[in-house]
Amino acid sequence: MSIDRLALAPVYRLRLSAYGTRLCPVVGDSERVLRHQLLARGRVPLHAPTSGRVRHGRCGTMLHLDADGADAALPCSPLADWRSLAPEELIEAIGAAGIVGLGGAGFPAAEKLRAGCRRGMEVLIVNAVECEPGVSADTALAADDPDAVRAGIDALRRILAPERTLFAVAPDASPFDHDAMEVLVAPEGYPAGFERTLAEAAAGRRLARGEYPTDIGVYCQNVSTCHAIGAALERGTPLVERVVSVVRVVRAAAPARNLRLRAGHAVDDLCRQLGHHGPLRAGGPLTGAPLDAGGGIDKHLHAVTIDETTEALPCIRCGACAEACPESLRAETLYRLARAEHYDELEAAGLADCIECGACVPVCPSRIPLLDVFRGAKAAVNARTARRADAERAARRFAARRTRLDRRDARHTARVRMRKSRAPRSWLDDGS
Amino acid sequence: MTDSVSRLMLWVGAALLPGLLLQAGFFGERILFVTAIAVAAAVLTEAAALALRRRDWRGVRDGSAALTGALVALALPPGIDAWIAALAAALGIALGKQVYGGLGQNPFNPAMVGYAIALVSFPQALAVWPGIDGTTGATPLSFLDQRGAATLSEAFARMEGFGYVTSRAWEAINAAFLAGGLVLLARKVIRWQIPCAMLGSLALLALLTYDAGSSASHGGPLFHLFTGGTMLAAFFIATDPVSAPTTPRGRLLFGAVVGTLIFVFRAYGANPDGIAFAVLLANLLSPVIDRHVGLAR
Repeated sequence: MSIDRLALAPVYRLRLSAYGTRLCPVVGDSERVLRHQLLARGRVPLHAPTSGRVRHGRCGTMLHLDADGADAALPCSPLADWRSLAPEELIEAIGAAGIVGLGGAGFPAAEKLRAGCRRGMEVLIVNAVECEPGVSADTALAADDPDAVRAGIDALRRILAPERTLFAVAPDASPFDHDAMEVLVAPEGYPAGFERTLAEAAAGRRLARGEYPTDIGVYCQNVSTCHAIGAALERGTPLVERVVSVVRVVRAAAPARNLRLRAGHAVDDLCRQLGHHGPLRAGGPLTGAPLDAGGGIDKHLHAVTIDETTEALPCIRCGACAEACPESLRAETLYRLARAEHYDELEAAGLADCIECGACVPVCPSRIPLLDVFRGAKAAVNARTARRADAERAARRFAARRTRLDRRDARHTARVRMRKSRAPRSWLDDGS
Repeated sequence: MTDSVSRLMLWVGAALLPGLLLQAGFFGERILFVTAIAVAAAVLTEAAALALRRRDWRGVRDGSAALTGALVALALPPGIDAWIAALAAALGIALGKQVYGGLGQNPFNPAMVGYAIALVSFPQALAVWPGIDGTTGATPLSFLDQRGAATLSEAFARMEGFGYVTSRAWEAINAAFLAGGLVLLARKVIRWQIPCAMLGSLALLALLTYDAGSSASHGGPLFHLFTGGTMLAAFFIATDPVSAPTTPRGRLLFGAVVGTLIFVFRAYGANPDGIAFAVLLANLLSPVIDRHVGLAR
């Protein structure tokens, strides 16, 4: 499986408001940087994907990097003798390299590892099952650079010290030389590549609602993330590049192209190089969300989808979406409630349990973009909850202030009354 | 699995063809003409309604209106005047579907709304069925209703063109609709819960009340399954996804209600066949069923 390389983009757009927090830039406006140079600190450090000049975005939420075309790199050295480092030092190195989960969710790797160490993991699953149909980024990378992958797996084993290490593959995958690691064949069907499904397959039971794999001692890491960890330790390179699958959806998914893309690659330039003039979606054909043409590719993105499907018809309540849902949610009810903006009922109906796998999307005869609707509804519910919490806090503070002022007024009144009762009321009063 | 609404409609239409052609064979080609008129009336009404609602009138391309028209024509007697069929189809679309918001919004089955309006407005016209006893007027069901003190076997002996359990014509027609329905099941256009529950409850009630065909009997299970509009209703009418519940268990309950009501109306109701009102009453229960009967984990 070949991996293509696109030409460098003229500009790279890197988000500073990410991972639920704001990253702090450490380079000034108009400063020249080299590839791999640290650009911002925070929950997940950000590194330059190529050499060029940095521009600060207007609102402080973006960093723009105008590439100079030379692609000069900061020299990187491997972490000396990393195989004998303590787990916490390894986790620090992984965090400093800005590594996030590359299976599609982008969760900070160092945080997940720390939490895993605290709880104690029994099983490590290396996830080489592609998460979506049409996406082949993981298998392409594992075949292309197995040494870094192995190094990454060794590092994880050193950190977590699991009893078992499983290498999860799709039922029809070609074997990866996993030197005597136990192989876990993922169950047939979508969403087999999701960590939840694999954890259930490894544990032999279903996870309860709200239960995570780490709660039962199962740690799942995507194989591309292992590669990034291995590269960071063996070669000293932070996470600035990954393999991205480009999937076309024209009623039936055609085989994908795999590209090596740098973090922050401008979306409009990507469209231009791919020869596509319409909207691009971040993610695979099922989980894809609309991509802003004025933005950049996030560093954890595993696929982009070119979607040419047509407009949606009304829902005919056939129930195919509910049948397809791996979490047995009543998708058609959630859709109606979301469209009607009945947010209380949505929470009761289980919107929070939706794992956003998108299995409901291809089976809908009306071609409704169900996943987009559910994502929008989740955002609206969260915004509403946040507004409510703010309002309650304001109400409490107001009540407290009211009480304080009333108390002060009462004291004042009491004092005045006491003063008045002592003093003579008129020059005729002799106090009796 | 079909992936578009229009493809679903095409499959249902195709599955209707064997039954339609057999009806034409037994009762005359006129029925094809009436069906075409009803389909045209339904499609024109939907286009007009969409235009009035300021939507794209080309929405008729999804084929749901055409299907409704065809079902209305198949539910009505073959000898019906074309203008009544057209009126029933048009009113079914207008009052049974478009006033509620069009595709996906109808709480009632539009074809049955149209049929019910016609039944209530033109009762005599809808009572005229091609004769199976040599004269016009009697379907197997109404024949049984009017047999007086005869036992079932005596009545069937008198019935012209009697096949295995009912008149040969209706057996064949129902068998054809059954075959079409099985094709739809295989293609996953419809799901098994509603047809099975409906036919099951109908047959069960007929079985429980069967007293070996006495003069008071309402007919045995096989008779009921292959008479009148049973198979058409089971696979093509009651299975309208919009007016039925959305969960598997809900659909089982819905089907059982329809089947029960069909038997009750046939046995004790004024009209020989009771499908339209059975379906409409069950449609009333759909929202309640959806609210309280859920998906198993």
